[in-house]
Amino acid sequence: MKVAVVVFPGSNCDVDLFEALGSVCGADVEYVSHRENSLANFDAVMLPGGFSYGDYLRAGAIARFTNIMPAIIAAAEEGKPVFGTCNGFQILTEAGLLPGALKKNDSQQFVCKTVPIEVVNNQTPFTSQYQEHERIALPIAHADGSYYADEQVLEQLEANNQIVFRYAEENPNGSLRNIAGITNKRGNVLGMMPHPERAVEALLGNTDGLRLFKSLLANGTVRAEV
Amino acid sequence: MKQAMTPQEIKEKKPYLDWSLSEAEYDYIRTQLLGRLPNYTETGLFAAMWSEHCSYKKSKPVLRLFPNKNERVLQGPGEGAGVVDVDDGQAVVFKAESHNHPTTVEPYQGAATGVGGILRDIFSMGARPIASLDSLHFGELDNVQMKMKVKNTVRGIGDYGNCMGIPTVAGETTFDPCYQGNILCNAMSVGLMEQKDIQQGTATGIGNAVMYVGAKTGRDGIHGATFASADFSDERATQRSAVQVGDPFMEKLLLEACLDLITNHSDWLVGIQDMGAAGIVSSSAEMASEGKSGMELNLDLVPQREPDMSAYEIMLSESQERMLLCVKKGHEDDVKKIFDLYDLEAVTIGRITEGRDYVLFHDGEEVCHIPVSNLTDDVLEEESIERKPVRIEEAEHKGAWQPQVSNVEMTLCRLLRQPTIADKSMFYQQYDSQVRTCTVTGPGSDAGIIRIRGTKKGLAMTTDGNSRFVYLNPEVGGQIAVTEAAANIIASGAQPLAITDCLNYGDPNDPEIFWELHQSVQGMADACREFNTPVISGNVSLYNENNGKAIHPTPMVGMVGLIKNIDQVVPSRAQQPGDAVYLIGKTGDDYAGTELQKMMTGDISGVVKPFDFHHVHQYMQHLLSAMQDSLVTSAHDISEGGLGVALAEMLFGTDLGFDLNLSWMTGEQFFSETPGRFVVTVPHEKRDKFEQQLGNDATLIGEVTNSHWLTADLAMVSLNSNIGALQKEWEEAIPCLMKSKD
Repeated sequence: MKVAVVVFPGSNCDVDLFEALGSVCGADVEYVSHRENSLANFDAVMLPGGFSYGDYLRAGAIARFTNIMPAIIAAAEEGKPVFGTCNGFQILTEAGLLPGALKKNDSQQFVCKTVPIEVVNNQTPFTSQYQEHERIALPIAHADGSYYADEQVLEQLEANNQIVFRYAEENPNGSLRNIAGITNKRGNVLGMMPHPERAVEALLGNTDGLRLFKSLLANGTVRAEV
Repeated sequence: MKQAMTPQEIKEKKPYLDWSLSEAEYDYIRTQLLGRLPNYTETGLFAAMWSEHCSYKKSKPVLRLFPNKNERVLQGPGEGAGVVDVDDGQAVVFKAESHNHPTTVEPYQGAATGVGGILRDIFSMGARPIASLDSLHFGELDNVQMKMKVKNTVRGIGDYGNCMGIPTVAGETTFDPCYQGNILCNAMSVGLMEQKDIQQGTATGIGNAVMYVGAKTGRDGIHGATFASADFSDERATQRSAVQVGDPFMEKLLLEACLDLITNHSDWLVGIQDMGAAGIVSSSAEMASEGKSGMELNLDLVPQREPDMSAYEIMLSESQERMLLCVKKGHEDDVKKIFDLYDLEAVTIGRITEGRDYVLFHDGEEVCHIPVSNLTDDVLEEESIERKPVRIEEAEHKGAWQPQVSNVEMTLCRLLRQPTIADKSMFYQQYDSQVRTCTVTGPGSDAGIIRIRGTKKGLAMTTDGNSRFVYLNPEVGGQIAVTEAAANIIASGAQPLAITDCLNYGDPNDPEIFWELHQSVQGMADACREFNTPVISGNVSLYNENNGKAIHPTPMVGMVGLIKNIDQVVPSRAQQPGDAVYLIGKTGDDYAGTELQKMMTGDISGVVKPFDFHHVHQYMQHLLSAMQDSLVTSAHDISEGGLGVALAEMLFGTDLGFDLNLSWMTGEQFFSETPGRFVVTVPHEKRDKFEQQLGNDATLIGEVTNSHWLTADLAMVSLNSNIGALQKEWEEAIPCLMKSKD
């Protein structure tokens, strides 16, 4: 399985994703520039955290117009796993691959800390190695992480089991229904504000994110069905 | 636009006095250096280059006291940043810089561009920045203005560093009324590189290109360097035009482009330097001076953000996110192609010329023609008069202040609520401390620790300074600053390598302030020699005054240490019940300048006593070898608030407690701040070996319990405090002050 880490101008968690997949999980992983226009050679696509285009206009708003975007959309339509964390999640919502939007945190401040997370849905290619309702802890580091969607969309997310992660105790940013991560309806596109790639090594004090990448690498070749 | 005044008008109207160039300096330039009247542009260039910020004309004689070499130092002061060998062909690069004046006037942009500036110093050396630290000193949190300044300073540091994707892993934040009118914002950056990639800020080779890369030049920050070299007063309250505006996204692109060029195409590059204080003039003149070259620049080619800028404005603008390169002739287009990939401008604005002259053209006219050395080397060094302050003379003749602590529990609780001691997570949670996934220990510990990917090595880093001790006894205070930094590094299990510093003082033309500067630098230098931690970089920030009142002398020490085996990092919190607890170092009646004194009397006074830092260094090395033999499970250095506060901090965030016998110690000594002490925990079965290694310098004081209470028998009193309750006080103190309406 070959995994792409897409690098936008201003991405800064690209190394973290690359190393989590490559040196920690032993996956075949490559950086792909936002200038490229094809992801045909890859089996999964990762959008890293950071500040693409400086978060100017809105977080993720400019990145969606880059050359690589049609290829990311095509990969999602083909059913390949597409994953975005933090700024990657923001880009996925801006590109319309995931519903809703991410607003400024209620505190109006950037927040970096480790928070308790509930795995709500373990029936996805990204979470199969977690238990349903398992309580884990993952780092967050964002200023625009407050998930918003209208009532109808929220009901659909619940009904289709698209809510994958919820903040389990305190809600650190004001996200509606404590949403920390969602998939598309088909289940092959996951966006989340927490950073699982920061929680894959005991040396750094947390390995709760490791099973997300292991799930993906184990399931990745099996395309999610419509 | 032509010159705003003729040379004759300059002589008569003396605009240079407003740019902090003195009458004597102007006359020296006119009669001794040029033999003619300097024009408007030239006068501006002299004012900027001869400012204290660029020339160190006041502080140079004092800075010569610092050691700056040892067996590991690859690059000492004089370049963008210092470089130290960390084995295996790798090097650590670090420097700290102050941005006090801009942060005082416009905290958000001042702090943000402070971070941006220090990062460019690191990557202009060819290193990738891997961690940031800060040292912030504010007035008391009892007024709305100061709370706003704190909030915006923290947001400025966070927004810039977070966007750049460089973790902020350690720092210090203190509060004292002396910073009310002049806050201190010192930023430190640490980078990592292959030794083969070290770059220099030099320009050589006749015909080689001078290339301008990065953001366009605007009118922001003109005369920032001279602004930083004069003191504040209410009359000059609006100095915002001298503050620059930062764009971290632009800097992120500039970082990646520069490192791409340096690591993959170094054969095209002769030299590279950040355009920091005094913008184009300082970077280009310093590069020409370093390369012993002449240089000719055409300012019409400089990318400009605004129309009709004068030569003077272009040369002195401190617009951010710009670099100057010296590129081998014929490779200009190759370099441009690299920067094109990052959507950045790269423009040839001049050439290296024969001779040693610095020549500028603007609008087809020659606007400057002077020997390079006039700007960089011929600065009129000023003799400084120094005098021991009366307050110190007086204090030496008075008896020492002796506190009376009747309720140890209450005193500990109150100390934990002192803003300088209280939990700072409200601030540091706004900094991304984990990006790049190398942070082994983040903020809130003795030192930040970063692993070096692909090796077993790690780097420990800290910023330290305690201006209250320096104010009362500059020489000993300087020694304590270095000792405390070394203690933080060693407490985390690392060997100290070297230091950088920011020397923050008042107006050096005041003989008492110059004496403070001289004495404290002497103290720091002596301690640096003892610890074998040379000063490899740093900066000086003078004129930190408001309405004639100076800040406490505040030298900040930024120290980096090397951990050979990252698995041997020692945490600062207690780890397991049953471990023995040791106090390392002897405790005296040291209360002058302590948090206890400030809390009980509202001020500080007395004389800080000398201490034997040679002896402290000896046992610190024994402690480090005990750590490397895995005898120590946790260690914490004792600083503000003394042993009492250190013990509480070691238990916060755990579910453990301490049961201690301190029957030889008074309740007052429980809060004494004798320098060079630690609390460490040692597994029961390793006690004998540990005691053999530490000898008389370790005192067994009790053991770790699983009760979450701090229990201690002192000489006349005893203490039994619930750690959960103390932690709550410690955590809530700052949020509570920040939220209150007055």
